[in-house]
Amino acid sequence: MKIVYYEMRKSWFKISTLIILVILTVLNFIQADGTCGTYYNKTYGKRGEAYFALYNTVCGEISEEKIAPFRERANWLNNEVSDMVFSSEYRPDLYYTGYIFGDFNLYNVDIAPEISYCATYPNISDKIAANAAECFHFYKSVGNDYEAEKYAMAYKMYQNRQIPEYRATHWTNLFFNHDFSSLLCIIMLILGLANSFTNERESGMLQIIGSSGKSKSTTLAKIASAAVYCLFLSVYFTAADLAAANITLGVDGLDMPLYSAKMFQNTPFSFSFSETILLWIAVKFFALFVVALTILFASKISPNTIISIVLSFGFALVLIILTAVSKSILNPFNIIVPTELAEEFSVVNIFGQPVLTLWAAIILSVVECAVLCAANTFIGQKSRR
Amino acid sequence: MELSIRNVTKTYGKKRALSNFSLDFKAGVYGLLGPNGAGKSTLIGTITGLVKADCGSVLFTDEDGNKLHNKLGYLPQYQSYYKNYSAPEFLRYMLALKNYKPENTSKYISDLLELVNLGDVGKKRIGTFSGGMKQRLGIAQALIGEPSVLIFDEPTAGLDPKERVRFRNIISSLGSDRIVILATHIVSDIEYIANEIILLNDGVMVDFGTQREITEKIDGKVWEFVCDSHDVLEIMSKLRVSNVVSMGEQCKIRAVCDDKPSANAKNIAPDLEDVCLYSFGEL
Repeated sequence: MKIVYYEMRKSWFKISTLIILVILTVLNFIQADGTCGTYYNKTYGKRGEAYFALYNTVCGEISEEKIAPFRERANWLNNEVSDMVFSSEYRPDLYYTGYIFGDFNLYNVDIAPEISYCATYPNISDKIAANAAECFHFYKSVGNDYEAEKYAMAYKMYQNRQIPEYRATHWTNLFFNHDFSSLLCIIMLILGLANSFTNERESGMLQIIGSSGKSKSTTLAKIASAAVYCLFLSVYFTAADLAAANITLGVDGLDMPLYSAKMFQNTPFSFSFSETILLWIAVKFFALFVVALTILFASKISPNTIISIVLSFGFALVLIILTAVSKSILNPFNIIVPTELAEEFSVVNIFGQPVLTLWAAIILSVVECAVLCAANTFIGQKSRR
Repeated sequence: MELSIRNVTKTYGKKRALSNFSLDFKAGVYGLLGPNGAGKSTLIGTITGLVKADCGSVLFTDEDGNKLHNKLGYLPQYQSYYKNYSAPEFLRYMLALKNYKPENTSKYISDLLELVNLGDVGKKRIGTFSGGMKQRLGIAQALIGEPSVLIFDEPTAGLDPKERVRFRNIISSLGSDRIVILATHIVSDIEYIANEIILLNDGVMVDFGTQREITEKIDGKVWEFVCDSHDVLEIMSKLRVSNVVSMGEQCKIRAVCDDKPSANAKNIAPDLEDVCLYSFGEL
């Protein structure tokens, strides 16, 4: 175990890494704020002040007592602005946003559809479940067991769904679609790991390690160190993204089911947001670990650190470009932010069984990790001639 | 304790780097002398396990004849170590690498650093060390685990005279109860501290013995004579000249050859440099 610590100290566990991390965290926040914060700040004041002032009067369990005055006000605003003749006078005493048209947008364009979604969601999911049941019966009747099982799975997942409370879930658009931090993770991985093996050669330590008979255990320690680094980056940048979403938009309803967010209305998963975030960390970890092991391998076969860095960046660039042409789960970059895999019901055929694509992606990442671990252990840089 | 090398051969492509090398080492300091490409690094590689010999065996045994494992300390050429580590941290890493657990780790490390005159480096990073300090740190890491065999490959290359003397003194003190093999082509390093000398050339052991035994073999073949300065170049092209001292219009020449090279030439006592010149044709 001690040797893993020293491998961390050699590669990424140092002050320079911390400094770069702080700089990239600030960059990440600026990017997140630029993406979403501007809309709410401009439309509804600092941190969506006006939005949350109204939201707090209707959030939580949906009841007629709560909704009736909201509905009445929304209808009144709609009538007042429908002829496009309305006052532009700033009246913060009358309107949340200070303007009648601003409040019209707040009530009818932003919050009303959100409440409506929560209230009517069971209809959406019941319809999906009903369609799935119909398909199940059809494929069962024609003897297609695979398709029948797939739709049986879908039926179980989508039946009896409810959104118990109305919560502000617009932060999910920022958090679950924010892939800038994934790019930063890749940069951190390359800067931290590209010299893992080349450093031994350049410092002359390769021969000392080889003569001690500890080449293989050193390699395994480097792999373990890379795993710790990937876990740290996964947790850190997920937390940073969540913090950015909270500062920019306000995070609410972490205990609500995933399909509470409209972007996930067709998701097969019933996890809560907090459970999903933990799952995201796990998926991100495996995706980053695949990339990390590839960087380690590049370091092992490179004659020096510069070549290793160039190879690693080249590899990352190719994979990023490939994500634009293919959504294959073989590409770890497609699952670093696995949102697309969770938005829709999608399965792959594994030995005749339908498996949700997200689970298949995780299994595939684990296999890729195992193969790359073996490659790093048995191929490449030799101290022995 | 014994290190036995039996019929070790290693070939790289068409070049035979080591040819049927056999020798038994006991406690003491051994100087491994040879020109570039003689096979010194290959021999060291087979002992340390970094080079897989084509045939032959390398065996460490203790006093009772039992096999010894992990009892080797090695200082290769050209070490810069991990620049962001301090010396104590680096030695702790080496303790972890060699899986050696002394009773009091801090005391063990500070004693080791004192032994190699690095006791006052504190938390200074290795990247700020001079060449001599790095070499001494190299000795310290080689000593971790109380090895029975110590191997130093060109340890004084690039060191100033003061550092080389300091290094030699440390090595001398280590050879009393260990096998110390010092591979170098700097003859003066061997002259002062080696108990026995191995001469290696083109992968073959040319000679082996104490300094006295080896130099006695070329008694009567080392000459000193005076010549005109303008004849020096011609003489150097014909004879193996180990030294030229200018005395104005004349030069004093020290040369190695079987026959008397000049009428005024006198035999002088040979030294190790003369042996190298005679055996290898170069220094």
